[in-house]
Amino acid sequence: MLQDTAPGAAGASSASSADRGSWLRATWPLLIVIVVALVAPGVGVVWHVFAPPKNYAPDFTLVDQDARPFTLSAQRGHPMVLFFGYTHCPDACPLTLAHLARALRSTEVPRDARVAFITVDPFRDTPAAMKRYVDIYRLNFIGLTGSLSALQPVYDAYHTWRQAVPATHGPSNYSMAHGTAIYYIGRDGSLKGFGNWDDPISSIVHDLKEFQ
Amino acid sequence: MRIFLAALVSVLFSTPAASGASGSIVVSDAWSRPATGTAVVYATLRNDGNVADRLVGATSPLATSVELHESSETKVAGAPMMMGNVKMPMGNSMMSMKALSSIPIPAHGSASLHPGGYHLMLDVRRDLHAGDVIPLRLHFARAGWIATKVSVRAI
Repeated sequence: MLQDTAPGAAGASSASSADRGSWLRATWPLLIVIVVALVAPGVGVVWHVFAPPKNYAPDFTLVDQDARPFTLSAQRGHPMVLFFGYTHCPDACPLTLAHLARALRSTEVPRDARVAFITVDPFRDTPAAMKRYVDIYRLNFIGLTGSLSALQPVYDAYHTWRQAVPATHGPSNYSMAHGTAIYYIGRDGSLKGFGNWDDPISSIVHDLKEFQ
Repeated sequence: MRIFLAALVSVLFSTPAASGASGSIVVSDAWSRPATGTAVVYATLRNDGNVADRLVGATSPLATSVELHESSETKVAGAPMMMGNVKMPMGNSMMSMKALSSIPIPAHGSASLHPGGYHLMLDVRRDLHAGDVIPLRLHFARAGWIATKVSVRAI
């Protein structure tokens, strides 16, 4: 009973058709490889001609909160978020950074995303001042500063503004007016999209997923 | 003159109500954020009286100075900004703030000190952490001094 229904018996009954089909079965993967090898370079050429060029975020090298050089293009592989502000900013910048920090805590966003806070006030924002400031927000926050001559091309390339506003009442020296955009850069180094300073946390979570 | 000075001293250093209420002004929801150097205070100032009042100043033992501020976002005129093939949807705008001499509180109304609008800016003597409490005295043109406690909220 067991021998009648053994797999060997069933295999033997279809042996003649298997002989004919085996050559095809052995060679069709090879045929596909040959076809792909012939067609792929052509597809590649067409893709290069017609695909939009990568929209790389303008590169820069500044100084981080540990006084080490920081180059944007060296961060490829990580989704990056850029935001401009200054440590003496009491209202707008802390709101944006708090929202970014809370969005980064969401389990939905890429865990390796990094936030770089670029100063518009290099005279007061030394690396040490930036370190105290970004430490409030803990992980994944980078504070970037440098000389104004190093920073100005970054402001220009990212179409942001800075303007010192002299104090009219009270003892503070000045405040800074500055651009409000949040910049999302993908793992490939390309600029993917924008947010604004008062985006709710849910919209930042969405953008971090969308623009990684 | 001595009577005047005594009166002034008693006004300045009188113990305000613990509830943060004095006359017709009620201070509520005073909060702040963790900070280094520069800190913020938000609150709601409600005026139950028939006469408008103004917040004209504030002091805190934790701050070397307290300023009244208003933030505003200015849309920058012109074409939407393009970076490569990506359009900045808000055309980029500019955030700025100015120091004020007073913040108005209408009769039977309130003033909201909130992110992106009116706020107090404090130059703080030490870093503020979540859970800290900032003692603050607010000076109103009519209601006088009102003490309140500001809680530093976690990020």
